[in-house]
Amino acid sequence: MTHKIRTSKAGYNAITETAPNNLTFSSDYNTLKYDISGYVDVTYNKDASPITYVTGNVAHNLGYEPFFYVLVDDESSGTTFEFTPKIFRPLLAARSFYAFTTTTTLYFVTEMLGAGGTDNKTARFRYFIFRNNLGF
Amino acid sequence: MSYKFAVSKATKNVLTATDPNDFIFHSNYNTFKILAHDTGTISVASGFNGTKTITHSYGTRQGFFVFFKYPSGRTTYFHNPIRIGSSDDTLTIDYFLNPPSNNANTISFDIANSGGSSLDIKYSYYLFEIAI
Repeated sequence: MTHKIRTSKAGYNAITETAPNNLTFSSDYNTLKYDISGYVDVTYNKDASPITYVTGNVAHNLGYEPFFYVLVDDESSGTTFEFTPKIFRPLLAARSFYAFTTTTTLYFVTEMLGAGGTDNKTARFRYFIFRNNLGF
Repeated sequence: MSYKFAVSKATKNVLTATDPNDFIFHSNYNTFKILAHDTGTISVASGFNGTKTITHSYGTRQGFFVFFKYPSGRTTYFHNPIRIGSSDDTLTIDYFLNPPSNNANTISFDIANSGGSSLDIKYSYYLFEIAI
C-alpha cells in the first residue's frame, strides 16, 4: 500500500484536490533542495582588447552536475541583479556574464572586448546550488 | 478547522518561529513542485544551423528550466555561452533570435555547429507546477 503526505492551500481539500498548485506540499512531486548559495566577486577590465575572460568559481564537490542558477550585478551597483546570461553586443564591443558547472565546481565568467583601454569593474555573482542531480 | 504542518531548522522553535527561512517546510507556504524531469541527447550535424526540439509530451504549457551539457563536460542552462577557448566554441545556442522556449509538448531552441564533425549535446529539462 502506498501512503502519501499532502497539505493543501486554505479552502482546498488535501484528500481530494488534484491540481498541484492547490497543494502546498505533495509527496507525489519532487522539489528543489538547497545545497549552498552565496556571492562571488569577479574584477574585470570592461575595455579589454583582445577579448579577455576573467572567471571566479565556487566548489560544490557534489560529484555530479547540480541544478543551479546565477544572477549578476555586473558593476556591483548594489541595486540590480539580472539573471545570467547577461549578454551585450554593442558596436565593436562584446560584454557577457555567464556561468556553467562541472561535477565539482560552479564557474562565473566575464567576457570582455572593448577598445583596449582600462576600465576596471567588479561583477557580483549571486549563485544558488541545489542538491538535485541533473542526471547526466 | 485548519491544521498546520511545519518543520523548523535546528535551534528554531517550530511553534514560535515566524520567519519562513527558519522552516525546512511549512504548509502555509507553497513548494516549487517538479512535475516532470527527463534527460536525453541531441546530435548536431557539422554545419547545422537551425532549430532543434526536445519532446516532453507533458500536454500543458508549464514553467520550465532546461540545462545543456556540452561535449567538454561543461553544463549550463538556457542559452549561457560556453566559451573560454573551449572546443565547445563550435557549438552555440542562439541567444538573440530564438532562445529556448516551451509549449505544451516541446522545448525548442536554435543551435549551430560550426565545427568539422557532428557533436552531441545532452539536455536535462524540468517542468514546474506553474502554468505559463
